[in-house]
Amino acid sequence: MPGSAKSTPLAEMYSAHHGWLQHWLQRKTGCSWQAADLAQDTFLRILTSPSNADQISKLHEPRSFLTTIARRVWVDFVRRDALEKAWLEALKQQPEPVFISPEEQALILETLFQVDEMLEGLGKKVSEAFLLCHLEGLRYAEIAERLGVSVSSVKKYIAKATEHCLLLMCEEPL
Amino acid sequence: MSDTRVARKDILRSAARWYALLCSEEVTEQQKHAHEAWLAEDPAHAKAWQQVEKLRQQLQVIPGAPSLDALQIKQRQGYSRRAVLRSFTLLAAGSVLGSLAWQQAPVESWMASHRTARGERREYTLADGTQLVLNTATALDVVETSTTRLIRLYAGEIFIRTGQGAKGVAAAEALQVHTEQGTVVPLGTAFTVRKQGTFTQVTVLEDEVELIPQSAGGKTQRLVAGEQAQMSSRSVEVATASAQADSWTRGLLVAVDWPLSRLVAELSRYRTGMLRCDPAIAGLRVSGAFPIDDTDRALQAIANALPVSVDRLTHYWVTIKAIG
Repeated sequence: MPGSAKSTPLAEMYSAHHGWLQHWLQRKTGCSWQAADLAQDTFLRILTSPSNADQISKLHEPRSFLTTIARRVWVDFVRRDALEKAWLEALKQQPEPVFISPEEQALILETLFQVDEMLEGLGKKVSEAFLLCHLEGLRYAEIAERLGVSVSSVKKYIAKATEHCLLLMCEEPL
Repeated sequence: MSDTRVARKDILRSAARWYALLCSEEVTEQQKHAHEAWLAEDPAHAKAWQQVEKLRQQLQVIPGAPSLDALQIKQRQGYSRRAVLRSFTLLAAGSVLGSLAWQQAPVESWMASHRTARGERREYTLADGTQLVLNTATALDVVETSTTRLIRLYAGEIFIRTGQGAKGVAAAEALQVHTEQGTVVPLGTAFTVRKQGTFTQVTVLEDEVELIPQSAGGKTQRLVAGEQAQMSSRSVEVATASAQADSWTRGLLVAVDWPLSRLVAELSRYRTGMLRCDPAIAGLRVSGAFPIDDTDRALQAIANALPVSVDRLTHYWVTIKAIG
């Protein structure tokens, strides 16, 4: 957060509530190190989301707004962490060794996270069909056999998952 | 306003249906033409289709098999947003992790955070004479009070030789290194700490250090000179340290009978861009001292020593392949 932002509502919010938020997070997580990171990320997320930045000046209860965003930041953090562990586990399971540079790894994890986020909330078969099609390159007939459904169902699943992803991509919620 | 929103949603739905049709192995030429006609019909259709392409590109970034496995592993573990949020609400005050001594320590001054770029190396001396060397792509904070020094290592690797005063006298309070996985307490010593994904690797060069994983219920593990350990947040795995684990502080990477893949992975830490090794030659054994300040020279040395060639698509995209 650059110093030039001194008089903005966000800067005021930061100086008035950052300490409180960090304390709240520390009580929640029991770890001051993690709390400091989460508090920072919470403000960063508000800063980078135009719709939030606009809201700040109109807030009646800034702390409840902050804790709402902080909860989302925390949920993302835990899910990202779980995904990274799952990714490392998956790498170990591959029959052939996979070589990935740190930059590639960061990009892959970020993309995986986005894909995982997008598929959240879809039915199991729908997301499974979508992944088998795109990540394993299976034909609809093969996917149908794996999932025990008809080929026309597979086509419907792919359309449904794609529509879901497209809607999310166009809305870009926080 | 809401009318256009509904219309836009409808167009996205159509785009998704077209996409599902085109992905099918049974798509006909006629259907492909119909799709092209649909695209030409309305600029809004073409715009929606751009989103489809964007989604497709995103999916091409991730390697198929391990990504599919990773997503499936995570799904099995049940980290849905709702489940995670519920666990957050249930977290009671301070009950999750044991509180470490430094957490209560008054912070008297924050130094600016210390960072090195990829391929860069830097040295610092702290107020008590502790020598600190940052390896490539490292980020940390130093929190100094009048009596204690806390180093928070976020990424990368550091070498530490503790100052004179540290030995013996309240060593545990004098200097600590904290990572996401736990705490490293030197007992008058020289050692290295490296963040590696979900692990912290600690190598002891002189004397001893104590490791305290974050969530091991206060259990500690002592390491002596010549030992190396992988610390997760729950446990510590001890092994013999590789020879010259601190050679990077002198600008060298020393490999002793390493598979080529390991050497390449280590060298890639010091380079920007992609450096990969063809799986067919990943298992070749290699020994030697390689300059990390000039990785191009290191790659040349590998090509001289092994039946491999260094294939440069660009400076940022280098693959090591078998000759022929």
